[in-house]
Amino acid sequence: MPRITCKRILFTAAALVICFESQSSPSIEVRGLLEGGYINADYDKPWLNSWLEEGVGVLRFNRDDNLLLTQGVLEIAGDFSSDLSYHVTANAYPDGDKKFGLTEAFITYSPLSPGLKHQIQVGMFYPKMSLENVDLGWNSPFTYSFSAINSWLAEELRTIGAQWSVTRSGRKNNSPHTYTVSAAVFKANDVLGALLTWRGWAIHNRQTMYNEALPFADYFQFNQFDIDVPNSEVITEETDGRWGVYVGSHWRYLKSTDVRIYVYDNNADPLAIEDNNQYAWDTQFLSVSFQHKFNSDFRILGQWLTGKTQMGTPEKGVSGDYDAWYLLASYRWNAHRFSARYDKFSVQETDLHPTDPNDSHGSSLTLAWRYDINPSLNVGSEWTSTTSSNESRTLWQDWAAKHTQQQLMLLAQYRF
Amino acid sequence: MFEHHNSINVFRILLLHVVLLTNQNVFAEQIQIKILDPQSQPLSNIVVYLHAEGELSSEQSHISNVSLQDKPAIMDQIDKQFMPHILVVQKSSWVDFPNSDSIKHHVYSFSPTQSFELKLYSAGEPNTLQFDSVGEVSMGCNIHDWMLGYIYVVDTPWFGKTSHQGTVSFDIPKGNYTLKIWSPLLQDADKDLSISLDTNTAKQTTVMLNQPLLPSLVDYEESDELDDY
Repeated sequence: MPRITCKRILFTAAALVICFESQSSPSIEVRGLLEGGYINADYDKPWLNSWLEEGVGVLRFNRDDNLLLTQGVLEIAGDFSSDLSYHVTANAYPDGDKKFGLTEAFITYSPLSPGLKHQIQVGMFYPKMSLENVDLGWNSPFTYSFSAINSWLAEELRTIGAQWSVTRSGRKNNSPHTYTVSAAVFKANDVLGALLTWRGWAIHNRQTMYNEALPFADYFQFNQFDIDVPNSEVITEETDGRWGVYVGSHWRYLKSTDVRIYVYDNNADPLAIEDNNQYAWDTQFLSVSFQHKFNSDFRILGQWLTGKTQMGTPEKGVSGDYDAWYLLASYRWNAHRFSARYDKFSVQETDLHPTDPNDSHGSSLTLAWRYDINPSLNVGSEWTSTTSSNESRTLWQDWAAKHTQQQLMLLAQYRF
Repeated sequence: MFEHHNSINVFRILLLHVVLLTNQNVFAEQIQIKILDPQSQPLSNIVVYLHAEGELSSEQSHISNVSLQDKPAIMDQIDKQFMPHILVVQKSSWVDFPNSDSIKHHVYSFSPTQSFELKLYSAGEPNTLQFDSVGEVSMGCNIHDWMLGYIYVVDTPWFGKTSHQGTVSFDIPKGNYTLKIWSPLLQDADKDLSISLDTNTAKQTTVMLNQPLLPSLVDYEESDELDDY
């Protein structure tokens, strides 16, 4: 039996697309987003540079990032038939390992049925855990940066596999309650938890693209190993050949209240290791998210995520427990939207490796205003203050664990 | 000769119109039906229809046999909702399903009265169906789970829906009729409600339901620009 790799999964999805394309002419719809503006990132020590540039800071931008095109999104979607559709999200970023790439590419089979609605999704995609990232290109329509939880999902988590969902529509059954259950199997995602454990939680909107490397800071503790340790990770690489799994359930009351619960297990073998000495990280977590709309203008959202991860053995490896939550309130006044989000997060080390301290904790406050000039153009500003206390920073002489970083952004988004 | 013949035709047509108009004035009755819930509150959007009873008068027969409208009825989709929520049509009518949204819809019905599927379509694509069977046709959209709409097919030319005041008016030929009502929210005690009605005596008829309507779940029709659909 041939080995099933993430490349094979994506190739199969692409082959299905080509196959259907040859039989009928698929529709194509293109939407896009360009975001840019002025950024003022403020922090007291130079080593608090962006984690994307091997700094130990937890925000995306550096002091010298002032005028920037922060992201470009191109979403191409369409249908091969009434039951079968495709979706590709291509991204462009000025920072990070890659400047162009894909964050999602999947096909969806959603046949018409009289009772329960079934849906199968195959390819690379985000699980629908978040109620925050509902805008074009998995962006947030509330703030520019994501919560700590969804910043982590954006950077380290992606499903490369297949998901099956079953929905019982409330409206069809004359009930105010709509239920969905989902289950997925996936490959790759074997390094999920590595960046979170070493760096701690972060606040940003930088989504990792397919086959893109995420850098680690030059942590002092890496130097204690006899072997060369990798200074980056690729989240879409498969290390141990094992399937991961997640299950989720959604409950929706009319269109006003949503609750989503997911249990995720990448089922990685913590002793599996790649040629570059990158271990697999065995990671499990529980995510609970909710949204409640008080009326059409005012809503609150929240999410809590708790889990654990382990790489190598407890004696010589790294392991930790992690928790985070956020609450977000958003109010729309005509074409203006005002949002405030509070994040709290922590990582607790559970391994027996005193020279590799991974405890971290912190909180963040984000205030955002966005104004829709017209359906194609919005402008706004966001202020974020994030305090993080990460023990790993103390390995450097005279470095402190606790720092506060602030970031002010004046941004415009153009959509087409 | 030709012109002379033509002017006679015009005269005949005018005469026919005068006769018909006069007949309508003589034979038509305006009646008003009001539908109330058990707490005497008016109920809107209730389908009310009338079947002529016994031997049809020539006027009743004339209207019953009159051909259906040339233009199809409209069941639109606006802001990811069916518009109207309930459409009443006479048997054998055609219904057009335009799409006024900027996104596609995939409209379907599994109702025993008439099942159909309008595969994914955008605005401007023609979708017209004929409804030949009497009864309830409930519709959904395979993309937007919360969309729900009804076409109610009746075998009579006298039908309507109650206004916000709970009333509906008919101009009908004199005679005896059976009044029936329909709504997807009627409970069992009111589903087979049937009332005899004589236009000579029942100019204004009030019908009170035995049970309240089921919850309308109208909140499903709240639109939200941030829905992840």
